[in-house]
Amino acid sequence: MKIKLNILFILLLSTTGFSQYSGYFGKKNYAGLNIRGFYPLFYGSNTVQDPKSETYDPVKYKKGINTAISISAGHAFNNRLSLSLELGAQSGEVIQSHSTTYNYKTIDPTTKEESYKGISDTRATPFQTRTLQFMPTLEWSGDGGMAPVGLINKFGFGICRTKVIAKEDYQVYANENDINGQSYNSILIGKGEQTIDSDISYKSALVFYELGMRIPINDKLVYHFGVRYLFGFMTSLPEINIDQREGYVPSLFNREIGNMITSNFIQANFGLNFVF
Amino acid sequence: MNFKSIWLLSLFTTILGIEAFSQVSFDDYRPLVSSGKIPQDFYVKTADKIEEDLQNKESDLSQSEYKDFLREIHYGVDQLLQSGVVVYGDEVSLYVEAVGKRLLKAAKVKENIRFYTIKSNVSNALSTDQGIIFVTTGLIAQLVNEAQLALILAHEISHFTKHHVVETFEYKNSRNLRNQIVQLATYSKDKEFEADVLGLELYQKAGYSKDEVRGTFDVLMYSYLPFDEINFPKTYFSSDLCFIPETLFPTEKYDIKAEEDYDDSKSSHPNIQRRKETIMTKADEISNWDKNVYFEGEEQFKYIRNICRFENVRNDLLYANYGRAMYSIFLLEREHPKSIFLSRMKAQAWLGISGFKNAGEIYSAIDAKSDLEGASATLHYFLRELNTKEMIVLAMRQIEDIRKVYPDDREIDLIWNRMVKTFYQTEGLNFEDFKDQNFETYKKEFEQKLNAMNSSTESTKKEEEPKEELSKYDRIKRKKSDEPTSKDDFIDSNKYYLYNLSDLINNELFTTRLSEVKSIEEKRKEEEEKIDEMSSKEYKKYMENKEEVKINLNNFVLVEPIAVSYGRKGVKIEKSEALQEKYSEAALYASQELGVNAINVDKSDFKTIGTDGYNQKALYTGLLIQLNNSIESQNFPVDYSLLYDFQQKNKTSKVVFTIVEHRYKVRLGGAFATLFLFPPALPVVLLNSIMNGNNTEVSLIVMDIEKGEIEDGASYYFKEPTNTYLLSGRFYSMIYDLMKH
Repeated sequence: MKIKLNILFILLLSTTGFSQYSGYFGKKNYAGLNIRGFYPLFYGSNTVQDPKSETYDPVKYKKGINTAISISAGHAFNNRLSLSLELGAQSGEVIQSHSTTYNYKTIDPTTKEESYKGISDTRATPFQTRTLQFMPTLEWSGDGGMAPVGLINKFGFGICRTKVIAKEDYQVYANENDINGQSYNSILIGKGEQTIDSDISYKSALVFYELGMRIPINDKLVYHFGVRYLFGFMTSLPEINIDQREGYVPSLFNREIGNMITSNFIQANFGLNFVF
Repeated sequence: MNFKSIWLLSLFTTILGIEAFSQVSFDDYRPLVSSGKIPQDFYVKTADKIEEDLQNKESDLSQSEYKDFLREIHYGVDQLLQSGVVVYGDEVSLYVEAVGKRLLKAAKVKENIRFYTIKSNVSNALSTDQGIIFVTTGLIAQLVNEAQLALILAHEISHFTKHHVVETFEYKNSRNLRNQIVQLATYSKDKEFEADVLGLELYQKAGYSKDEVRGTFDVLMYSYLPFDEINFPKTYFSSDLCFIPETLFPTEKYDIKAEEDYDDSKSSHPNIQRRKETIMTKADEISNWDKNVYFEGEEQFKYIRNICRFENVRNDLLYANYGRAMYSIFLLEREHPKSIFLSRMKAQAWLGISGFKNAGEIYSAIDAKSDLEGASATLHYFLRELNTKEMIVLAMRQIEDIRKVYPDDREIDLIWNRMVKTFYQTEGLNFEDFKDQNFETYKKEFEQKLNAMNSSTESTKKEEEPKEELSKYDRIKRKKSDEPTSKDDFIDSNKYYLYNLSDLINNELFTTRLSEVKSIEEKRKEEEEKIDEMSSKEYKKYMENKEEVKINLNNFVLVEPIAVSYGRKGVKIEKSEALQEKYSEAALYASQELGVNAINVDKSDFKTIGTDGYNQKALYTGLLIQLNNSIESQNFPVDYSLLYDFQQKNKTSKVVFTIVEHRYKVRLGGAFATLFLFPPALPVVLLNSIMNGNNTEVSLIVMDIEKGEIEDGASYYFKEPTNTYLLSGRFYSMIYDLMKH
């Protein structure tokens, strides 16, 4: 990874010598900070149920907009074409939200009475995730462009690493059901830090397109706004050692991570850049 | 009275005398420029004028209609005031004001009426509701006396006192007559009749003569013709060194076609006949007429008229009407044969017409065949008959003859140099083919050889005009019976022009200059051929390695930008003014960042820099007008002498003109379609529509006054808002590219 980064940076710098374009007030390089906000339209993970609820409560939305922050640096080769590198960090949550029904029979040791029980509607406290994104981007300015300012079309391809952070107070609740399948109780069926392997990582790739505008505030500072469409896809899944009796299904957990990556696909982007 | 008092009085009178009768020298005429303190009309923003007038509304129009009205008139008038053709405080304006004041006194007008002169050959006078009266130099050039000017001014003052402009707007709006030309024309004609009658009353009260009323309408009727009607002699261009066959001149006469009783149904003004009848009827009803024709003096009137006639020549050159310029020069030379100004203008006219001929645009520079009428038709016909080689040679001949008389004149020298270049560039014209003997000598030799020639003796005297002083209108009315026709009785030589530069064959100055031009042109062609064969990569490297700086723009004059912001209904005045200020600020900032010195000539500075700044701007705007009218041939700046003065003062010959246009129109069709077809794409489609609604174009040209040429230019079209720094960045890029750091 480090070698790859170095190669890309050298490539970027080496091309600067050939440019005859005057740039924006003679400046062709830029660096900045951007904040992205996105609303996951199709991701169910944000529909987090209150895990401590004793009865099966209707779905509640816990969170709306997620955010990501990134820094970027780039260079304009001519009045229309620029190349930049973006390093982003995004936080998110994943939970395993599905209905598991697990029925079992118990026999009272004294009375020898048989009873049938089951658990359903497994609910878990969300896991925090941290995603790091590394994206080289190509920027193409509109008609009569004056890169790196003005109307721009950004195309990016990047690699991401999503880390799921283990929690000590992780808890999983489920409903206890009677023999007729009627829920009558909410019980804690699992807790503690070892429910999953700590800090598991997922790798993914993404592509994005952004239409943005960089408007100068003065000859050095530029503010940026845009709309980004981002498409991610998993490239590797980790081994997860999860006890199935606790109600975890590894493939479902992986699916939640995948959903989180792919469903936040419309993003609003705001930033401040320094041109030099 | 003691000696000291007498001395002081005579000194004071002398000084006053100099002030009152300061006479321009027509031998070394300098074009009209503004003088004195700059009036507010020229520097107050249009938006501020509208706002002020809105506070003093005196019309029956609603507030929004009145605002529309004010927008129309203020924008129109300010466009005129900033166009570079209006002068104030000059001798002509002061004279018109003196005549006008007498009439204002008679009319008991208390408002502050300002009189300005428009440097234009169109014969016109106009008044505005703001209290400005404009008179064109073209009109004064045509007048016979002061009384005629007074009658015209009285008419305009009547329009002002009766608020005809706003009344016509009210009428137009109240009946939604935007497209009803005939009805509006009828209403306008009624107002014209009213102004004629009221003007006549004012004219009479001021003490002018009834006898001059009818003659004023002759001026109006024939004002489209040159300011005098003198036959153009066929021998005008002929000399020992220059032979011109008579076959190039017309054999028929071209009568003057003007009629008094034309169809005026769609015109805003009644025809001349109706106006004359109405006004003469009214004149007969008025009694107690005075007999005054002049109050300011006949000599003064003729002096002012002469200034206007000299301005006519300049104006014709500005608009590339070279045929008309040449005829006016012919008329003025009769009284001012030693005028270096006329010689310079003549040289410019020949250089200009050569350029047009070479570019195939000659018919823009001379009158159309259907328009040939009167005495000047001979000249236009002649210019039309010359083929390219004949014209270029004649031009070279004329300019060389002028240079011989004024060998040390800088302007003539520059024109001469340009003409040599034009001569070289003319296809099919090879200097090696030219003969070292003039045509007369050649002809004599030919006669001797063949012994079969009939040659008519050319009269070398120019035709003489009657000695009595007649006005142009008297001459038109006289019938000339002795119009000679002539034929060329000797050989029909198509190559006569090869004998018309015989003195230049061994002229070191000419041959050296021709060689220089040849060498430069050959190098240029060689480079062009080399570039044509290069790949784009090779070309890029070639341009990168080119050492010389393209244009030196370390110091230049930046003329106020022309800025237009369009809305759905056309130009948005307030936004255009704001855009102009923004772009001006942007250009200055960019210049500062580049480390170059931009000398700003901008209306916003006029209050502080005054008339000097205004004159500069007017000059440069005139230059732009001239460029626009002669793009194909890139003609010599008509106001070169004045421009040269500013060049010396600013220490630069580079002038930068800029234009910025902006239009905002959002097309939401795509967004609506996306809403139904693919909603997730809506945010980007909507943002795209909003951003792409901006259409901005910025352009820039660099002119070198020294060379009298456009050096280079740049242009950007982009779909971004008119943010000051975006505009500034563009200007920076354009100047940077031109300088090729």
